[in-house]
Amino acid sequence: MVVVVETALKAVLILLYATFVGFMFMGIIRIVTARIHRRVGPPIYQPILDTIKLLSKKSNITHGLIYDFGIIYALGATILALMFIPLGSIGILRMYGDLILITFLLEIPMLGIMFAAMSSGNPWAGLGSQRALLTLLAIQVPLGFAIVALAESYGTFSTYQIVMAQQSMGWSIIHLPLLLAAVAYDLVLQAMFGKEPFDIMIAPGEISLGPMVEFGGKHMGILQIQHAIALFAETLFFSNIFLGGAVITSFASPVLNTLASLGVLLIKQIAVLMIAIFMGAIFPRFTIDQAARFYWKWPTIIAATGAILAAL
Amino acid sequence: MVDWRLFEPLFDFARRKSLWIVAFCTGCGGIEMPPLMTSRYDLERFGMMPNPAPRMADLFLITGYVTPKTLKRIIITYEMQPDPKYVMAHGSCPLNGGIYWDAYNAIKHLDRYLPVDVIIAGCMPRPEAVMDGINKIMEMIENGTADGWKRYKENYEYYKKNQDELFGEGWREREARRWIPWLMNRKKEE
Amino acid sequence: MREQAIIDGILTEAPYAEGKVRRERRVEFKVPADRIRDFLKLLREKGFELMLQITVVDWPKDGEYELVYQMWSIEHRTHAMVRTRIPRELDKARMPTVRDIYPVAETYERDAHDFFGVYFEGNEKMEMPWILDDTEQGLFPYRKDFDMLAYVKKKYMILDRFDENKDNYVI
Repeated sequence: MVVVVETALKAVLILLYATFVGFMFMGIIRIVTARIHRRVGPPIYQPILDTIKLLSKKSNITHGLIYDFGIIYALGATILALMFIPLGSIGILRMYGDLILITFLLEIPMLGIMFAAMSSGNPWAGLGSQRALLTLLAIQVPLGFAIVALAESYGTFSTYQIVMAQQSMGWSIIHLPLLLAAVAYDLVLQAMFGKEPFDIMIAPGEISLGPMVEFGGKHMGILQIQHAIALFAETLFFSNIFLGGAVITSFASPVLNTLASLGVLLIKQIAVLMIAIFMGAIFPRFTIDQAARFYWKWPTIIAATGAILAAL
Repeated sequence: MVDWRLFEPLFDFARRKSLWIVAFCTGCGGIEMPPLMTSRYDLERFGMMPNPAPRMADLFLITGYVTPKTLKRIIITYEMQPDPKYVMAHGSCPLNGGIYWDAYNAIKHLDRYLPVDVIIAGCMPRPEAVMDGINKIMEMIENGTADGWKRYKENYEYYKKNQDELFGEGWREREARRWIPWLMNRKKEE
Repeated sequence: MREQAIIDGILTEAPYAEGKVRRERRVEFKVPADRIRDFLKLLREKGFELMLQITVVDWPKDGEYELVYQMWSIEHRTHAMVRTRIPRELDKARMPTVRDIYPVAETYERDAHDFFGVYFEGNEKMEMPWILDDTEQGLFPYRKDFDMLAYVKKKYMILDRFDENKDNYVI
């Protein structure tokens, strides 16, 4: 009984922490983009205000059961993915989280959003969903090769064991094959964040936010929360498998150890985020065929080279 | 059950600080929007964001003169927005016709057809004036006088009467079916 | 002069037209309304590839519309105006279409039909809705005898309450 309560408490705490930090990440994205444009930018807590406003809308439009279900599905899948990723020394299901499962769970929220968008019947939403599906298809190839490179190199699919192995033999990116895999994975991350070169699926001026066009009020509020958690989970996953994670045992107190590893992870996550923001601010948008061709060419070649080198 | 009225001040603060804009760029006011959004005047520091989708918009900007044909689209877009929604009209054309006071094809009084919360005077208002209007609408949200969406519900007969007088009875259906004969002809040709 | 040479080359094949040079790179032709198709075909052969616009000018005193076809030649770098006159009465204001010669003319012909009531025979999109709304069809608001102010007062229900002498309209 005590174990159940403790686990539940841990899960809630992780969820709260992830949501809060995710919102801060969204604020950081907006501020840094604004500073690159030489603007002042919104306060860092702006996404939280947006979400409160969206959740407090007085009227709400729904288009049926699938429309509601898709949103919940996206949120649930993201939370499940978060639980599988090791967060320092804590983590609910970290022992069971293997690379393929987490990658899959980080991708299917897009499917949920697409269900909801398609069921709304808006033509822009349908068009955006098609593009999102094609982008999802395009990123599978480099993603698969990157994961194969990792698994070959460490001899395991378990994220937790990869983190532990990195404590003794250094970060993944100091080995050449894994560095190549990390470069490919970072390019894929750009599409998973929905940042600039590969954000044709939600292009605001062209197809008016694509899949998001029909969501309003509480649906959009839940999607904001989902986006925050997904942002946290994706950066956390990248810093765990490539940037060494954080397992700090130098303090005597376990609380201090946990806080220190959370802090180290936060710095690594922000570094990953910054790369994505800078890439997004510099590059213009690819059309969907250019994006697919790019993903099937350069990141695939890089990741495949990494996988071959790791297997040798 | 939670009494959500307790949280109304927080909600009002959030609504005031996070106005998402859908701009119906009619007329000359559309060209005043880019300076507002970019680095010179930077509306994003007040938490405003330009937004193409009316479903998640709060503030509806009507930037310039309105013809009957666009007014139909404006009304439909307004009704698509979820409920605490605010309308801001730019310039003297939506106010009383402006320089188009004797044009056969420009609406003279926008507030007969839609509840308008703030109208900015000027032809065309400079971005400073627009920011002043936005400041005004933030104050009005804070003290609860920005109630155009409530007025639209309460006085719907009045607005509907005016709209029907301008467009004719049943204009929504007619507008939706307007192109069907031509599309059918085209299909026959092919 | 280059412009005069262009005009001479065209007028030898089209004796029904008159032509003169307005200024450098600007020439002008006057054509009877029933020969407009032949003349525009000729112009196209002579290197005037682009149609820029069809404008209509209302001359109520003469009882005539003046149609001006604005053409541009990339080859000669010359702007040509082709003027023609047709009667102003709505049932007589008819022109043959030039849509098959210059496809862009479709737009301008529909424009002239919407605002002036000139009917272009042969353009099958003539009856298709264009800029004006359904309630404004058949109004032809750009004709000079269209009483704009009375129409505006009636349509938008503007009262003359600030108007003191009823001659001077004040809004």
